[in-house]
Amino acid sequence: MKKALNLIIIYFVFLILGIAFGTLLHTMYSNILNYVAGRGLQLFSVESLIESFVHISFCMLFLICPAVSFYRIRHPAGVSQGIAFIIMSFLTWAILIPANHNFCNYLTDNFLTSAPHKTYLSKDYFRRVDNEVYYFTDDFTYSEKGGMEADAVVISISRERSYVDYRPVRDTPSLKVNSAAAPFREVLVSQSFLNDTKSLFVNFEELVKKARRTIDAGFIRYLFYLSFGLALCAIYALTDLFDWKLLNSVLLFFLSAFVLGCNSGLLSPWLSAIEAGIDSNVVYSFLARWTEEPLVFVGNCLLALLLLVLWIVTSIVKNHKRKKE
Amino acid sequence: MKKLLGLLSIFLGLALVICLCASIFSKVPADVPDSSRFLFKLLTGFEYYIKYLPPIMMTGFVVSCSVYFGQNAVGSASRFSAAMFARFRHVMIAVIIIAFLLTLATEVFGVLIGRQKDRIINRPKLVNDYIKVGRTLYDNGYYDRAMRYADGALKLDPKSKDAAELMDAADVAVNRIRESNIRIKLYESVENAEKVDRVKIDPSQIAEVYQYYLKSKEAFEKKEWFNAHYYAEVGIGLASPKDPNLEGLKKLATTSWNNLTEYHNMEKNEDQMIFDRKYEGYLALVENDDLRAYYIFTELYNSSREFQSDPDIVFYRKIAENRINEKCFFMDETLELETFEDANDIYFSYKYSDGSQDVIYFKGVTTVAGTGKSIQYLRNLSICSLDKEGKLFRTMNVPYAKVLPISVESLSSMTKSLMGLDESVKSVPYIMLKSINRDGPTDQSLPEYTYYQKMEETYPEHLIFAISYDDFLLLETSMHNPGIIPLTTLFKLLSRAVKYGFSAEVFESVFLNRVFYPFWMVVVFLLLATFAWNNRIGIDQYFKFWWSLVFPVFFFVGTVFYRLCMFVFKLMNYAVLASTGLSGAIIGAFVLYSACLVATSVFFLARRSRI
Repeated sequence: MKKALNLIIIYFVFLILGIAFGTLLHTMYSNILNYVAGRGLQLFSVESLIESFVHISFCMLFLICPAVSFYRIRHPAGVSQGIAFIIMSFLTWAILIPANHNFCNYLTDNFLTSAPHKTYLSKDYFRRVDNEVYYFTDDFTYSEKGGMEADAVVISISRERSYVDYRPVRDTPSLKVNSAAAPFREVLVSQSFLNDTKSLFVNFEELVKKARRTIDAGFIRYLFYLSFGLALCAIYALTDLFDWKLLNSVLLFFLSAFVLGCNSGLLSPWLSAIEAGIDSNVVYSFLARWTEEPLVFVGNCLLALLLLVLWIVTSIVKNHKRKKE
Repeated sequence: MKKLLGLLSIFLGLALVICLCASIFSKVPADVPDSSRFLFKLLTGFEYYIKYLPPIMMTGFVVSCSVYFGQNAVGSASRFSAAMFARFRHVMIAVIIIAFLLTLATEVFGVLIGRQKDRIINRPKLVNDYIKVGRTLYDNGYYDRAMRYADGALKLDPKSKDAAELMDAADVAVNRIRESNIRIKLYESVENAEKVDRVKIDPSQIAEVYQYYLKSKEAFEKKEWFNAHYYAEVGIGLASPKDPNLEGLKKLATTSWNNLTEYHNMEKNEDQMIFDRKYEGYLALVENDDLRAYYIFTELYNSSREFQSDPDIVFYRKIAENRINEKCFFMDETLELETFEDANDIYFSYKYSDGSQDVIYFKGVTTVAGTGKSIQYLRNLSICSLDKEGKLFRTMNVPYAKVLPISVESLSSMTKSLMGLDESVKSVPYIMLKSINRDGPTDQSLPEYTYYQKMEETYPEHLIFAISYDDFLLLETSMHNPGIIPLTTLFKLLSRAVKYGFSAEVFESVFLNRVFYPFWMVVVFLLLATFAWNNRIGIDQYFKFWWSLVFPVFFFVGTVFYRLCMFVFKLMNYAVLASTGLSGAIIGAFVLYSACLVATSVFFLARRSRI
């Protein structure tokens, strides 16, 4: 019982600390996303803190069940702990996530009233993208042809032919120095973060958007969406799978990342190809009415079922071993 | 600790074997010669290993610690136990070694392996370039330099037929010139050739020299002075110092020459003609028409072997050449430069005190060896000059420019104030834009100016960059990627980058990332040690073989974890920069990571076990 209570306390400690720390980190990250050379680095602002809180609170609610499961690996206990976990899972997915959505809407409507202003690249800095170097000699101003424009010295440094040109450059999303920098504003910054962001297989932004969209879409849709929560919570079954805790921890981390990745569009290209072939299927058509990604829904349910069966079998085997001893 | 390091070494060894096996299936570029394919694949294997070394190390460390702690968990029933302090000591030593190895791998070995692979790919290209340049130099009469390039090509590829042929041809040509550089005095021969083996006499060579002696004598008797002189000169070039025909050949050469000149200058005294020409050259020097003076004296110098020892011609030609060297350079100086450039695609900008600025770009830079980087050649130099509103008013392009440092003391105070130079600047780059033909005024290369606004148009043939020469040398590096700039250069650039069009914040953050990387790795690995303790193997458990099948999952998790750690690390460095500014960032980062280290140490020491 004590361990079950500890689990509940840990749940709230992880959640609160995770949201606080995550919000701080995310605020720094979003400021760096918008950083432009020469304009100074800004650490915190109220608006960016609120935006970060909205994002991180959802992320923490997705991650809290795997985090508590991770804690449980080192602090296993009996059935009461399992019951406590089920209650907390229900609390998270049935109550806290929808409540957080409403709270975030309130924050957004009341505190993020001003439209985000676009920042333009500064002048007097060299920005290299592939074989072109841009040096804006002037600030971006509205041009008669429409859109924002600035004069630039453009240096082409291809092996075959290099030249120096001076011409007006329009600020468009397809401009190399903009597209190469995404998601950052400044290509100089994106080059130093390049490898790190590409290796993160989970698109948390997509997960948060999907959750909010589904909540707004109605109760039935959200019920089908809960397959994601079911899969994440079912990972609890791994906490006692092997005798070596390290194995359990690593597998838990891996499977959590896999579930998060699949639900954030990691397998979309392959699933789209499969869906194109089965869209006339009755079951698929039914599921497609209530969920955006029917195959992901099926995958989540199957995984949850598999883990549940695994947990039951493991428990029986371990109980049997213990009785023998 | 030995056990810990031993387990870790086994893990690292296994990972190395896997990386080397994986490299067997790697693609080898077509440019790599067959003899180097194995070496290239081996280097690729090491490259994979270094690239994935951090997550490999993390995985190995956690597994090793987990097993090690599991078998040595006694004595930590309470927090901050003595046994835990002992473990902490061992872990810290291991972690410091790991951080050192990881830093070496990223800063040193990765770069070295990359360079070695480039060398293998470029070697055939380099051999071809050496031969091509050597041939160009040979065709233009620079046999000594051609021989050096042929020698370089042979060192890279001893079996190269083209290189061997070039070497032979250049060798013969060099020897001919050397041996024909013998000063001839009337009725007395003074040899100034290089040392030859005076003992060795080749009978076939003597026979050939004798043939030329006979031909020269025959022509002499027929009063064909040109032929007589020519055959005599060829014979002298082939003869060794001990050749019995040498004296005869020399007499024939000098006598026929004297007759030749006397015959053609019967109308005017020879000395008077030479004096007239020298006077013309001297007058040009006085009138500061150095180029004309140089060409007059060069023409005289080249016109006769005797004039090459004429003290007036030699002396005043040298003066004219020195004066020209201050304003322009010779085109033949640039013949082989493109192949051996030290850096490519250099760009920077600088502002004048009135707000106008220049944007500089050059495609390649070559330093003259042995000059301590004080003589450089810039290829395809372009300068865009902008007014204080940022509008272009002039561009300049030149195929080659020569750069030298000049002392700021040679500049007027007005020039210095217009350039906005700091008091600490001692020398600035002086750029020569004009290049001329060494032997005659036939062709020259001038800078191309284009004006875009109505203003007074000038076309200077030399420029001064308004920056310190030391800064100019610093900028000749990969400014677009501060991650690969040598650390000492990067440190010097921190305070100067923004002056030349580069973001100080980006440079500073990259510097912090690189300098504090080992510190951060110590913190992360200490955290992993704590994780390993919490997930240690049971005291009664033995490591099961099938558990190793899960190691690929470990590695995947380790890779993601490492990327996450680096992401957080870089974010924290940006946060430090934003909080403390550029000047306090290093101290701020040191304080932050020291605090992290203390926190993780306390966290580790607070671990306990139930036994």
